[in-house]
Amino acid sequence: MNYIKRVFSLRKYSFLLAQLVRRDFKIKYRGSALGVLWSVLNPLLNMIVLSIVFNQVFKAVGNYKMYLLSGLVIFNFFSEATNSAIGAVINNFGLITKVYFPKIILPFSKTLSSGINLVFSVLVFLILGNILGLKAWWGYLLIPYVLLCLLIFSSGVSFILSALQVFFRDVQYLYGVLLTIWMYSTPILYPIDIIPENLIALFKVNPLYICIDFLRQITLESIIPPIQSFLYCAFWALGSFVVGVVFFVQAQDKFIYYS
Amino acid sequence: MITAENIVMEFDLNRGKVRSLKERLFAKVDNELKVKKPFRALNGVSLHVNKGEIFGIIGNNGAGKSTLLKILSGIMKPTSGYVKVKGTIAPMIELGTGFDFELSALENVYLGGAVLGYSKKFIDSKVKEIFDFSELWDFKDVPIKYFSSGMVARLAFSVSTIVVPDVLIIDEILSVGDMAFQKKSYERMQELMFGGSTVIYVSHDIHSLYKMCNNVLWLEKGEVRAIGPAKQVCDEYMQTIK
Repeated sequence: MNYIKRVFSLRKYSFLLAQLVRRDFKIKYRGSALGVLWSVLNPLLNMIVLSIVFNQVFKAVGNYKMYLLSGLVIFNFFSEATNSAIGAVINNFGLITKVYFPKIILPFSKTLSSGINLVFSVLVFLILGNILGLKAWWGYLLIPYVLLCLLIFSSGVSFILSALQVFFRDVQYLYGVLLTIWMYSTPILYPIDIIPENLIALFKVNPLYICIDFLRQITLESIIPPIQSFLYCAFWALGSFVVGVVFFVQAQDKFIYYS
Repeated sequence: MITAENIVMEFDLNRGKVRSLKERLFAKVDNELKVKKPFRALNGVSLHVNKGEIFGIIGNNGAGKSTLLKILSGIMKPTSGYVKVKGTIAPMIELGTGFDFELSALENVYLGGAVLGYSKKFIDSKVKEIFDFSELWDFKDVPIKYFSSGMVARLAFSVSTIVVPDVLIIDEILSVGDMAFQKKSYERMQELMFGGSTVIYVSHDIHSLYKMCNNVLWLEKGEVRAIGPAKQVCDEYMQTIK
């Protein structure tokens, strides 16, 4: 109980967390003429390019462009968040060996920084969707729920990865491969209907697909997702977060030997 | 205020060698990994420091002084033993922890302060004092990557010493900047040390230990060689050097 209290002395260290997120954000755009504007421009330009490519080359029909983009918005966030968090501990050994603070702040700050980009990307996605014929309706109010679940889920994964990376520096490369496999086994480019009947259950438990599907139901189909979708999202988020925190806290006292 | 009993700290010297999976596999083949090479950095160190006391630690390089400081400040966990510290600790083991060289001096004051566990409000109220003390007002918005190392050290010193903590842990950081600033920083340290905090002070400067400390611990190869009143221990230490 005591160490849980220690980990969550985040109240005292919430300012440090905020400072680390700010630092990431500032350094990212330092020196560029357009600065923070890139947070909007980047996803916007990417999405425009993608939709032109898919329109011209693949003669995409209907809402396929938005179908694709909704998947990419979510998967790209997850990929960015976890990939930047993976080195969060090892890149900050200079700090860890000099002063005490809850180390879990380090991967958490990386995930939160990516979370800011996620919000911008989703906004761009929705605006673009509106131009391309999606209708905004009150169901959009549920989108923050799925984004929050996604953020918590990614944090949990980030905790585990950043701790593992301390002990095995191979983790980041293995994870790169795993992420590619994950990307292609998530119905982003293709509809889930093409998956053989006997495998479909496996594809449906994929937490990223659950989030993507949630977003698609609201934006593309204009329906409220069934109650199971809400529960699955929450289940994956909390499960990953709890496992991640416990794993990280168990491992963190050994970090210092691996600097 | 501070109690440490029977602190043992062991490092495995072979541990740092192997890191990747591939190296691990080949190390298995070469039978390298099977031998653990334990190294006791600290062996059965006990100490007790009272509130308001200035406690010195001396010892040759590699005697375990820094390891002991890290254990006392909670950065490391000892292999076995028991540490209890009451109150807030400000470790000054290295200056400028948490500084990011891409950020400006002002941004670094906030970042460095946050790393030391200060709140935004507190730093807000101290910004003026920090820049007055470091005399860096003109460079407030300049990224510190353009600073000279002396300027960085001055800023770092000023950030580290803004607060009067319950326990202050100092690892030889007095020699910072040019002569004028050194004098200033020395005075500031004196102010902090005699401002009611409990101080743990590591130094090779036997004279300042002699002058300032109540009690001194002499570490040798991870073990307590002597502990007691400053005068007695310092004299003993000096004798072995001659």
